[in-house]
Amino acid sequence: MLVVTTENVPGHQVVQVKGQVFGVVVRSRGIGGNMMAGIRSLVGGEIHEYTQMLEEARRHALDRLVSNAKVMGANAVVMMRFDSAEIGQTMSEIVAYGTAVVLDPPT
Amino acid sequence: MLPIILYALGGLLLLGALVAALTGVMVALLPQLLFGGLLLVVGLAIERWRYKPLLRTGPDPRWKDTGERFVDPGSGQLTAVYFDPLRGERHYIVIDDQVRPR
Repeated sequence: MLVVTTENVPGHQVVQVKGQVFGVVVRSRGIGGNMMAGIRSLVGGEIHEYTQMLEEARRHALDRLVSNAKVMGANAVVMMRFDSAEIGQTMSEIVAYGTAVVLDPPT
Repeated sequence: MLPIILYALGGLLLLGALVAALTGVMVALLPQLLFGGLLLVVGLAIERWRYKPLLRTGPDPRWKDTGERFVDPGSGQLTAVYFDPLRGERHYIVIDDQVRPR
């Protein structure tokens, strides 16, 4: 399934708009990861524990977006965007959203 | 490296708790040593945060290559994304270093 951040896909025509589609996930590192990140933040630099957590949250949210678009009968998602927020002190919310469409010809 | 240091620190705290319990020396610190040691060792050991580990086997023939590629920040390996059109699932596969763009 094609997921793009643009409104149009060159060589294809949007023949049907299925509607908005979302993929939401809230993730947290465990106490061990948070401890390591806390110690690492004392000296600065990249906090690998949280980089990895957000990278996996991105994948997770996109997977859910694609899964939801599939059940809506779409074959592509256009205008996809990510948004993020913090919940509590150690939880991170990532949402992927876009417009589920049917492209012709299919990708 | 950091996890090893924290494991070692937790182990030392637990060892200190054991010594305190057996010898009675600094027995007043026993709860703190035990709690601190268990927090470090168990907290590091049971952390569950991995999501969908990267696959090292080839893709299923019915999966479609999305063309999406990224370098996994954890492993530093080039990863390809495949889509299963039947189930609507995406799969992450480590691809050979030979195809990594230079």
